[in-house]
Amino acid sequence: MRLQIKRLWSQIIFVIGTNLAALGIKTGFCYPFFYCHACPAASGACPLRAIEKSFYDHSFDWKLLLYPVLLLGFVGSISGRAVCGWACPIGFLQRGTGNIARKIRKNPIATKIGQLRIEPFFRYIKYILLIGLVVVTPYFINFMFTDVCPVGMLVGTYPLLIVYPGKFIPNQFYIYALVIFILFIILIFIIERGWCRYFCPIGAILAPFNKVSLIKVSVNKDECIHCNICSTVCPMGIDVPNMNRDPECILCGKCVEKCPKNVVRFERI
Amino acid sequence: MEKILVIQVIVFLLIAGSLGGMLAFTDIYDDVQSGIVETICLSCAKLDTNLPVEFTFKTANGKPHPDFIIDILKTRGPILIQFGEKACAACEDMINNIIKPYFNLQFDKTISFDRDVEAHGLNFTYVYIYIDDPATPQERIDSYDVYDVEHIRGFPMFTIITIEYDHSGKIKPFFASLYGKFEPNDNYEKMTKTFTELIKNSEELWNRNLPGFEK
Repeated sequence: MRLQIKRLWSQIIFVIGTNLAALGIKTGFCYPFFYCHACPAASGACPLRAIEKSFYDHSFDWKLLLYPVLLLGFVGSISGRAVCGWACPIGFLQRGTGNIARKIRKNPIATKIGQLRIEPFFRYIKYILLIGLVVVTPYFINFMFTDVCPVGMLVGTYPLLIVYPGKFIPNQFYIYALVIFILFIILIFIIERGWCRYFCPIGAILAPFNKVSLIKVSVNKDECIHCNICSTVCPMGIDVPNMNRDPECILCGKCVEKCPKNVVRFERI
Repeated sequence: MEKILVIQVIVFLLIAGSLGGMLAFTDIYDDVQSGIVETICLSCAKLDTNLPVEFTFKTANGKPHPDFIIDILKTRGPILIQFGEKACAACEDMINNIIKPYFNLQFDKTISFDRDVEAHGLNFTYVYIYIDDPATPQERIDSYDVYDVEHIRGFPMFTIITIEYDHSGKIKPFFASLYGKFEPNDNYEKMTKTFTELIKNSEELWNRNLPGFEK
C-alpha cells in the first residue's frame, strides 16, 4: 500500500478514535494533537485547556501541567511531530484544503509572499502563542486561547448548537472567536498547513522532540541530486535536502515517496 | 551517532517512566476525565446556557453555598427551595394551588422538610424552609440570605439550584431566585409552566455536569 494511502487510513482511524464519545466512551487522556473536548463526541481532553487550567488565576497545578506535556513528550520522543501528519484531525482537515492552497501557491503574488525573508520568523508565532496565551494570560488575567480558539469553534460550538438546538446562546467571546475562525478558514485554504506552520501551540510543544525522536526523516546528502522535488511537495515548506531533524517536519512522508533517487528515508532506532 | 542514541533512550525512558508514574500513583486520569472530558466546556465552545430566567453563580451575600445544598447536589439532583413564613398569603396560595397539586406532595406548611420528587417526568429535591418553624436548622434559615439575589427579603421565595460550568473551568452550584408569584399577571398555568421549564433545564444541566462536580 502506498505510504500516503496508509497515512490517510491512519488519519481516518484517529478521527474516529478522537470522537469515541459518540459511542459513550470518554477517557481521562489528553489528546496528543489538536482537538477540542467541547466537541459533543470528544473522547479526550484538549492538552492546552489542561495547561491553561494548571496556571489559572495565579495558581499552579503541577499535575495538570505535567500530564499533557508528558503525554505529548511520550508521543514526541517516539515519533516527533508525526502525530501532526498521521493523527491530528485538524491536520487531516488541512490535508483536504492543501490541494487548493497548493494551487493558490502558484499565483505570482503568493509566490512572492512565500519568498519573503521574514516567512521563517512567522513560524515562531506558535511558540509565542503557547507561552503568551496558554501560560501567561490564564495566570494573570483569564483563559484566553481556548476562549477564542478556532478549532473549538469548528468542532465544539457549531456541533453543540446542532446537537442541542435552543439550549445554548453565544457568549461574549463568540464574536471574537468567529472573526478568528473565519481567518483560520481563509488561512488553511491559502497556505498549505498554515495552522500547523505558524499557529498551532501543540506543534510548538512537539517540535523540539523532533530533535531527539526515535523516528526521523533523513536525507543522504552524498547521493542527493538536488532536484528539489522533496521541498516542492513538502506541505510544511521545509528545505528538505538541507534539513537535519527539522522541528517543522511532520513526517508525512511525501518527500520519502517522491524522491526519485530514494535518498530521503524514514530512519528509526 | 551513539551519543544521540543514548540521549534518545534516556529522554524516552524518563518521559515514559514519569508518565506511567503519574497515571499509576496520582488521580490525574480521573481529574481530567471528570473535570475536562465529561463536562461540556462552554467557554471553549464560546457559548452560554440558554435559560428562561437569570441564573448566577454568585451568592447574594458572597457566602458559600450551605453544606446541605452541596450534599443534595452531589447525591440527589437539582433543588427547588421554597422559603415561607407565617402569615404569608402568597406562600399558602403557591403551596395549595401549585406545589401540592402539581408535584403531588402532602405536607404541613408549618414544618420544614426536604423530599425527592418525581412528577410529570421531573426529578428533583424539593426543600421547604419554613422560617418560623423552631425546628428548622439555622443553616437552612441562613440560606435565605445566600439566595436572596435581589435583597428583597420577600416571601415566598423560590430558588432553583443546579450545577453548571462556570467559565473558570470548574463545575459550581448555579441558581436563580424568583419571588412571590413571579410576574404581576402570571396565572397558575403560566407559573406551573415556568417551574416545569426551570426544573427540566436544571435537570439537564445537573445530568450533564455531575461527573465534574462529584470530584
